[in-house]
Amino acid sequence: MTTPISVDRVAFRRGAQDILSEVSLSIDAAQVVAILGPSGSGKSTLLRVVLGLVAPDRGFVRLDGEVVSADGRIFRPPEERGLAVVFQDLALWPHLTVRGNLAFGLAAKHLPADVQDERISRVLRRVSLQGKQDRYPANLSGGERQRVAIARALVLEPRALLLDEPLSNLDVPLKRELLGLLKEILRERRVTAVYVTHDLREAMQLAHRFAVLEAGRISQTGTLDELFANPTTAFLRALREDVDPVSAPTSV
Amino acid sequence: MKVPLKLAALTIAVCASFACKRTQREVVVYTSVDQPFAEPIFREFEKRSGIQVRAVFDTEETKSTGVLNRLIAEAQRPQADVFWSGDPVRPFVLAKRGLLEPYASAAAASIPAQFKSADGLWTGAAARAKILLVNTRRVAPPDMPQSILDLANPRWKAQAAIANPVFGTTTMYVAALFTVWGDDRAKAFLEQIKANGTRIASSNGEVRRLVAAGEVAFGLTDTDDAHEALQDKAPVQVVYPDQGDLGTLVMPNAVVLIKGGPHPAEARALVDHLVSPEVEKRMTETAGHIPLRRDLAGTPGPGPFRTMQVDYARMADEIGKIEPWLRQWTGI
Amino acid sequence: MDRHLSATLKRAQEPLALGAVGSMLIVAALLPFVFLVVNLVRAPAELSAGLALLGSREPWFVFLRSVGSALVVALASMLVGMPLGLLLGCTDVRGRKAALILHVFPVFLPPFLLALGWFHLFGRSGLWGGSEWTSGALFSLGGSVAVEALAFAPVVTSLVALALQGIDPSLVEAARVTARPGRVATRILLPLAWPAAALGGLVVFALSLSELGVPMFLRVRSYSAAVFARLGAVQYAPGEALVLTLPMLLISIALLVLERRLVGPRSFSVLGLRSTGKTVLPLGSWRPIGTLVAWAGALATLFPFVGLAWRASTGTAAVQDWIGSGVQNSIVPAAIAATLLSGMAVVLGRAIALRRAGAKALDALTVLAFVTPAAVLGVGLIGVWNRSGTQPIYGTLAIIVIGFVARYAVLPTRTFALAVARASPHFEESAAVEGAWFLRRLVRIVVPLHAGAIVAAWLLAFVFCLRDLETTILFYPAGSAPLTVRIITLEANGPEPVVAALALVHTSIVAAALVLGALAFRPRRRA
Repeated sequence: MTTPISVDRVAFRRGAQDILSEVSLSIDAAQVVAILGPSGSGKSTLLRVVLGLVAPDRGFVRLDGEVVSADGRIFRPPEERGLAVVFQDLALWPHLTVRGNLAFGLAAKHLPADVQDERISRVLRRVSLQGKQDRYPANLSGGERQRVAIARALVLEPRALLLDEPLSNLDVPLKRELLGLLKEILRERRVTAVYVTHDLREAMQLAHRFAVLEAGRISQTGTLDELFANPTTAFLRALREDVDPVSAPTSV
Repeated sequence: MKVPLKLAALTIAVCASFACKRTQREVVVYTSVDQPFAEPIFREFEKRSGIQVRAVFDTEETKSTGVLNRLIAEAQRPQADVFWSGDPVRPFVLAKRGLLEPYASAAAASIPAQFKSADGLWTGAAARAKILLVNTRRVAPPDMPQSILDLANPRWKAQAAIANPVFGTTTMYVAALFTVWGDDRAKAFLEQIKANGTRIASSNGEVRRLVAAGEVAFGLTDTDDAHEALQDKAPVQVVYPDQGDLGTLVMPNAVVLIKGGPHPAEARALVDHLVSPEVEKRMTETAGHIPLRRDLAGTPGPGPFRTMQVDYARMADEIGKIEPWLRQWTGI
Repeated sequence: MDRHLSATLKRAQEPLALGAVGSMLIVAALLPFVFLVVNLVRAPAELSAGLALLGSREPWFVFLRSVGSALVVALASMLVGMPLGLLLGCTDVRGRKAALILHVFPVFLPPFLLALGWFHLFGRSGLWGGSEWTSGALFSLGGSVAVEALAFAPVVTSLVALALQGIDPSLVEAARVTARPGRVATRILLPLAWPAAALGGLVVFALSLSELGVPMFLRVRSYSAAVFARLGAVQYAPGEALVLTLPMLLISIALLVLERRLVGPRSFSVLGLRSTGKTVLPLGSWRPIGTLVAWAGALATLFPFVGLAWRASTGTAAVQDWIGSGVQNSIVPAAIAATLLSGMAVVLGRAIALRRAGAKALDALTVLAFVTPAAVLGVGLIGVWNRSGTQPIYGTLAIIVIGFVARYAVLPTRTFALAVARASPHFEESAAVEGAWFLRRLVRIVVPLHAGAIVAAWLLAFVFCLRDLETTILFYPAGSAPLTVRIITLEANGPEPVVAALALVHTSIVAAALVLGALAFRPRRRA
């Protein structure tokens, strides 16, 4: 079986600054991998490299074994990668209805109209938005918009779903509700996903595996237990203390 | 999205209707005769001949690069059929570059030979003259200046005005002096003018305003400017200078045919019209010009005053030569 | 094979589109300069004459004088524009919006029309003047500086007002807790608005340096007029004129660098991310005085219209005899050019905002074509297009459209670039990830998302094309003179009331276009 996403020794510079260096990561099918890191650690850039929005200066990106970008070149532009993304600002197109937002990518793939309709109504039902398909994003609540964004990504049935801190602007009850929904959907559809966040509690709910990105380098990967068994950096130790106060060194 | 699309559709429709219009006979004329006088004459020609006139007008000399330069720039492929020049000198610039087509119009038969070329390269029409405009409140008739030499006369120190000789008809006048007097005398005269504190105005119109307002006692300007001042009932009087020897410079408008213009037949018809006695009469009445024909009823021809004997072709040459010196003289 | 080809084509959509727009710009704006340079090299006499002229003192004297007066104009318009922008941008003076609109309006008119208006107020036979002194003051370097400063001040006012409307109200609220309004204005708001004011100053400087109509009308020596005169003298020497423009080109390049260095990276943020239009600085007891000052400043730029209206009312001559087809000749090419330009702006403006390869060079080309003396561009255009094979272009309104595209591309392009830079890049990136290729994204996402900006870009291009005088006067097809050209050719010895009335006709057309544009621009809420 091929690996849906594999990143191999990727480096990315902006000016004189190393944003990513020697980043390697692979994600297995139906697996949810969380990329954890403080702000400015290069998480979003890594996602953009995978999406094909920017080319890595060095290193390879493979999708299902095919090299899609390498050493400053993009062989498959984002349009051809079959991925889907949810950005932090959601980027719902304000001039299109909920239905229009969902249909856009399907139409770009030239799917027959009845297939589009069927897929859209199934996804909308799944995120409990049936009946709101003719609304514009401006007339939806925050939680509803979040669900439209998730639905818009899922309706494409992508080979992998990339999420860039999609829930970071929500209040706690809403976040909890949406995390639950997202987890259910990802599991039942066996979606391969990359979830970028700085919040370990969010990541814990969704992810099978974790990768910690600090200052452009992957400092550790593994399951939660593996990570916490031997935290190598201060960031990781702080994360552990946050979710597991018992592990904190007792102050004298 | 809809708004720009609609606008695009609208503009395309408008242009289409616009482009379809040009099917009738037409003639293209470039002119440095003032638009307020020239345009009605074109309209009249259109009515009479059924030929549509498409015109490019000049602005006051300093305001644009001028139709003359446009004619030169377009020489490779002429756009104009006729150039109706407000002076007799500019056509020679075109003649020297071989851009003119001779045409001796029958309608110009009665124009004196002095004001046209025998081979029909250019034909003079109504003219202007360089005159002294005197403020009657400041100067009584017996004391009025009678010669351009008075511009340099200490008696009129800082009381006279002349337009910037780099532009317009004043260039021509200075060039005439250079051809008649020779370089040395002409240059010395101009230096004396400057030393005498004579005001250098930006244009002939400005000289007219200075004289009419009494800011200066008199100034060298053109008959059409004088005509305007008289119409405004300004306290001014015209003096035709140098009646004893030098004579007054007459500057006829000149009509020329452009070689290789797109509408040769229509062009000749327009030339015939522009040099006709009728148009000359009209320019005399509306534009303050003086007629070149003695046979024009009721209006004085150039006859009543002594005209300066000049060769307009030589004047044109002279302008090219003295221009750098004049720039230096004015300080541009 | 076929599939492979179509995939390649899809991938090439964006570079092809940018290439097409770039080629149009190169043909319209760069080719004329190339033509002139080639001719110059072929005619070494003109080159050496021009260089000799540049080697003498006189041109540099005029040049420095022009640069100096443009500097004074820029400073004066900042002096007027900054306080007005503050008052009209974010305080609670009465009728703030109306005052701002009235104040800014004259920017969209050819400055020589305003000079004409001032002339009818203060000239020798003017409404309020009639004295030698006022006339002398108007027809002087000082008069020309004042006319230009008032004509261009709204550039600064509107940029400052926009910038202040975009700032975070909490910044000001925090200061208001401890300080009086005057202190808040000078210590908090003006420093925040400074980059916008500086950008405005740069724009005004460039406009003033290349302004031709005002100094010529007021008979003041200026360098751009001297360059024009070099073309207008009996010795036709376009090459020499080109050499004479070199100092101006140097200044243009310096301005471009300055803009990129000082304001460029910030110019998008300078203009504010969102215009709340809310009052953030109530003036309290100073409100009546603030209102008075704001309205006085706003109306000062409108005085010329009083002069024009008065002069137009003194005549009985029929305007329709003189207007010819001037209105049509103005509107048709301006509308076509604006439509073309806004289409180009969508592709190029987006590319500039997203820093695509080649976009920066094209941006620089548009800026240079805008600030280079129009006469030089015009002579180049004649040289390029007056050939036997191109008569359908040169002999028709198409040549005017090309001239407009060359000269005014910078305005709609920058407008659209601003809109794209202000919006989240994720709108388009999401669409790309979903499989939509460039053209589909452009049509379905970018254009509808920025419909307002496209209307604004169209309007700006349209109004500036209407305003043009110095580009088209050189090559408008015979018999198709635009209204501005008719006004200036009739101004020589034409009946004054008619010329004033024609100026008012031009003013009304621009006003009508702006009102219609504002109606189209009004944000619509989707229900």
